[in-house]
Amino acid sequence: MTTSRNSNGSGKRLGELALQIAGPVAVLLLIGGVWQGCVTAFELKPFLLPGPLKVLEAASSNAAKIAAATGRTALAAVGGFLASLAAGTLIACGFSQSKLIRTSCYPYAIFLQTVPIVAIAPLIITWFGSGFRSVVIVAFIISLFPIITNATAGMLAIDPDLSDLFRLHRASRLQVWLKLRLPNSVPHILTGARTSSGLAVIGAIVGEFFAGYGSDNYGLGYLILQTSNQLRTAELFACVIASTLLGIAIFASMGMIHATILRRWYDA
Amino acid sequence: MTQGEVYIRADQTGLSYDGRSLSLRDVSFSMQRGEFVSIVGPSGCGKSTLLRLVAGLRSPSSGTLTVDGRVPGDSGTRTSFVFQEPNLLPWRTVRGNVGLPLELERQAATASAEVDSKITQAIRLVGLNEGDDGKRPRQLSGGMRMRVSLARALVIEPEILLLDEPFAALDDILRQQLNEELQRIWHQRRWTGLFVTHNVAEAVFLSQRVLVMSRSPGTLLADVPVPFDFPREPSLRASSEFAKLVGEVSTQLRQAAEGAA
Repeated sequence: MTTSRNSNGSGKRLGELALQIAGPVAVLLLIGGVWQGCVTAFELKPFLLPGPLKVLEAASSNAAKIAAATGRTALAAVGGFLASLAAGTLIACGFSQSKLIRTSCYPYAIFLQTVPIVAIAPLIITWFGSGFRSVVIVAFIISLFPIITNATAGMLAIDPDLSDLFRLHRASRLQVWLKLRLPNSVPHILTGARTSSGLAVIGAIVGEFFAGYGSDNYGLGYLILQTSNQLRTAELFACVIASTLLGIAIFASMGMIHATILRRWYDA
Repeated sequence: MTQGEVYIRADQTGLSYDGRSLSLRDVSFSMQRGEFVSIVGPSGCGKSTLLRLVAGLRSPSSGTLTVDGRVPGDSGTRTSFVFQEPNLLPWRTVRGNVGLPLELERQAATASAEVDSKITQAIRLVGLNEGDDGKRPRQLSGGMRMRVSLARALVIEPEILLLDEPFAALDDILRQQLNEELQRIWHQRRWTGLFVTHNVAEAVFLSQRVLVMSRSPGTLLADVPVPFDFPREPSLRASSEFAKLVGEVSTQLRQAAEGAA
């Protein structure tokens, strides 16, 4: 009986999955059709708006270049993201230790959130030079804030009874942190990490606008700027699509990691 | 371990949270070593707060409270606390949860084999079996989680066990079963037990004395001895003496609830 219910369940899930794929694909085809139709009917110039077929052509003829650029941008985004995951958790650890630290330092954490990254990117290049390192730093700065706030919230959201339990058994500060605050904050950190991972991709691309110049190792940001300046609009479209796919891929992987960890080790 | 000497003593104990509103007022009682006493009282009368004072988690703002003649936190008495919620760590297995107090108290001298056997013993004592050792809290029913919580409290072989309405969220049959097991374990181990509940039948079934507390600010109104012998059988609940005593305590509890209203 269990087996039949299971197979029913998975059959249902397969059907749902098919719908989830078929629906968006149908919309994509529709938009593509209308887009191509407009371009053909109004004879739009390709440098203003290339048709989807032209974009596909540009994508396939520059596939290797775009793929390499996407790979480099992905590397910078993941690097910046992992750095903010580590640094954000450490900063949150400091914040969770005392209210004094929290109230004194929080305004400067908000600074990370509000500073226009476009404005300080040139400064970063002045300090760290053009290239990959500066791109990682921009991705890091832009993705740090959600980790800090979520991790801090998680480390502070301790059931008072559990605090009492640890106190009753004379737990040290380090034990409270390692055995209670840190594991308790993991679901919160993962929620922050989902937001953060998306921001890191944006950060990497913006970083490349400024810092990706003058090297053979360029990423999507540099490619977007270059193709835009040279009015190679079909190629520009291909790069924009590649950036979007990269964002989705990173966001979806984070979502999967999030769900897996919660299912295995937490209540949800 | 001489019987008859005072072990826990509260003398005119009072507690105010913010210096103005009182949550406990002039509470005085004493307990002998190895005694099992229940406290019943209306909601919000400060019963749980009193347990936290005995645990040394809070300090009284007036009067004194001593365990073995000393201030609770400093007395070095092995004390365990069972909360209303099981409060297990979801990321730890049953074994990991039960072993937590041993880890925290870092009895460095104890060999890991000994720690292992203490954990196993505590888990078996509360009626969980080997198949449950590796499960995580989310895989357990409410009753099983409470058993794990109880095992976590027993693993350090406490001298004092404080229980704060531990079975309040369970259905009646399960509550009765756990009452019977708690009573059996107490009879074996003879820790000093202080049990807070608002279920009078539970208090009478488990304890040697029932203390009745008044509404906030809580103070003690009555100290009712429960004369039944241990070990107590489930059939005790059906006896007329049991019903009579439950009725008496209930009347006092009603008066306590209405008195200050």
